[in-house]
Amino acid sequence: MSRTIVIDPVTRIEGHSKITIQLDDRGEVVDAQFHVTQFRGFERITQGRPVHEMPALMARICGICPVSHLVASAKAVDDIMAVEPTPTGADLRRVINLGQIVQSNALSFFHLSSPDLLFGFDADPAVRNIIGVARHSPQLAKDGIGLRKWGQQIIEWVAGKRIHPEGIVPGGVAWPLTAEVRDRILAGVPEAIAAVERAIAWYKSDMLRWEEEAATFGNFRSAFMGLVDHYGHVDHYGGWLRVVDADGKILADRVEPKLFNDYIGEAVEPWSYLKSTYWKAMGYPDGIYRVGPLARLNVADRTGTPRADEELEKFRWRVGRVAGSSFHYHYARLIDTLHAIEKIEELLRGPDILDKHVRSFAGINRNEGIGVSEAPRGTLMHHYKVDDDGIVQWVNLVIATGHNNMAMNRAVLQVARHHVKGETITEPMLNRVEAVIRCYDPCLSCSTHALGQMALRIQLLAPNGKVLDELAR
Amino acid sequence: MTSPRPRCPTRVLVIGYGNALRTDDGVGWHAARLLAGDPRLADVVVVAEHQLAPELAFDLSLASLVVLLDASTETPAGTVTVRPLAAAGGGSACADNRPGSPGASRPSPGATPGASSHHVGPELLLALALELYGSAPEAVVVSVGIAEMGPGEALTPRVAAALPAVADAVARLVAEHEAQMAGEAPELA
Repeated sequence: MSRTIVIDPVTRIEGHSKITIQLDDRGEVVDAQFHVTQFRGFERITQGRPVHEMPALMARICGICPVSHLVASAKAVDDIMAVEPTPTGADLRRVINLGQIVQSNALSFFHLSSPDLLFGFDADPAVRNIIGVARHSPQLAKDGIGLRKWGQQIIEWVAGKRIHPEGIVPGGVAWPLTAEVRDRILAGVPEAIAAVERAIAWYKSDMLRWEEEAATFGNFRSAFMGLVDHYGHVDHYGGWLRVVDADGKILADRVEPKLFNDYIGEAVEPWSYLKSTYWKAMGYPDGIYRVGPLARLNVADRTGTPRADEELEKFRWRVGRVAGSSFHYHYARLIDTLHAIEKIEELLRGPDILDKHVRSFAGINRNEGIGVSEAPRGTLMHHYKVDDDGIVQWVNLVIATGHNNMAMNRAVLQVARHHVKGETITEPMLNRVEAVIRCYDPCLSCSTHALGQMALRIQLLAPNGKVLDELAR
Repeated sequence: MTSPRPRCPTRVLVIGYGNALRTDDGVGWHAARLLAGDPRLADVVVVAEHQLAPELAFDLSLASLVVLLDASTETPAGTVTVRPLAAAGGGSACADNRPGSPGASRPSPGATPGASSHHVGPELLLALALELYGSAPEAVVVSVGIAEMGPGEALTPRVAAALPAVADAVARLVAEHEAQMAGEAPELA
């Protein structure tokens, strides 16, 4: 008799989700689905608004990565205005965006994932939490707090405030940078670098403990997508789209980001509000690909900054030129963070970073605009259509978590197959199903780690709906 | 013979937090914005935050008193309540409560995580401050009962009318704390 296991809710996500695991008559896992059950509706509620409001509105999509939406939205409006930000304006947007990369990656690694990595996935939740990390490895906890604080401060000092800042606007940024703020940020660079390098050193020394997880946490062949500059370096703000396959063969390169619709399709499934994107050339559902820190390292030739490139070389020596296991998102996230810090320093030491000319102005010159950037979680696209008065008529958002949706489903299925046996729901299974989602740091991620107590309910149901087994905590 | 305790500076931190886009949920945020210009709190650091976050732990460790301003769904709208927080191991760096000292104690059970990383509660912040930086301040929560939490930027009338009472409560707490600190800490020879 086949059965369905339901995990509902997946703990404390941005929004809500549940996981369904389908067993066949032999008790073997045949399918798993990651359902996003919350509807946000930004694509609809922004219709009718003046397009110049869009960056501020879109920032409200998220309290963790508002800058990502600000950047992509502002770029879409730039496109509608047919303007380029001034070089300094673009660089300041980069600095703010990179500040967010640092703080968001720090949250994901140090606060959400390090308890699992430090104590093991089966450790008592009373210990496997941020207080446990603080007691066991205070330097690690301090480093996470310090990195997140520094990243948030960059956003606050350059863009006005930490959450939903107003400093990124169509055409550039709202105000120039002062020497005092620049120097204040630069003063924090050495400690930020030291913090992430300590984390990398610890991770590398310990990663053999997680060989089993690395083999089973979303370890499958897929394509990868990210932005690279004209040198083939990681680019979090501009550049071109590059897609590689599981062997590193380039499937698409130097793709103008505004042409993404020619390459990426979107599918809607009835069991989730999260759209699934797919590589059109391979069709749905075969056209699975991944984005985010792991993808950025897989698609780029190099990061383009020295310390991160040194670590990238070691990363590739350890996990391969194209890392296929989603577990390695953790490692990649640290290198992504190191690169971001180095890039912030490089930008701030640029000769024109204090230039007063930081914004370009224009009216409505096109009826359609697309903005693309790299969010902490991966490539983000904002696509708007407006009338001649600049009133929004249509909006489509392709968010990083959507790019990774099929991959997350595949990862959950793999973990479930490895750990779910028979009719019993086990704690190790619960822990790992949640942990594999956490690798992707989806914009559901804040809820995939309970600090000490995962509020989780899982039911094993017979086809007639009868509850065969249940676990709740 | 014990060593004389160091004279500790009085450092008060006021944190008002809440979502200012969800009507009364933002009362703490609004209260902090009001208090930032209050002359009675000229020497006090006042911050308005969207939510509490782990990075505030360091700031807490530097304080001798933290006053947290928040919304409450458990009291009638407009009601202002003041309650001390359960000890997170106790006192400021000036207290004999540093890790390893005879008076040191672990964070109370209420401070241990049951919260998610998305929502960091006051007890968890205090526990982090103590664990990581060796010091956690006295902590008091000033709550305002709220009427609504739906979308909106303005406070409902009854809650808005409570802001002066919040300011008075905070000013009183600060004055009492400063007097206590001045009376308890002798100068080093």
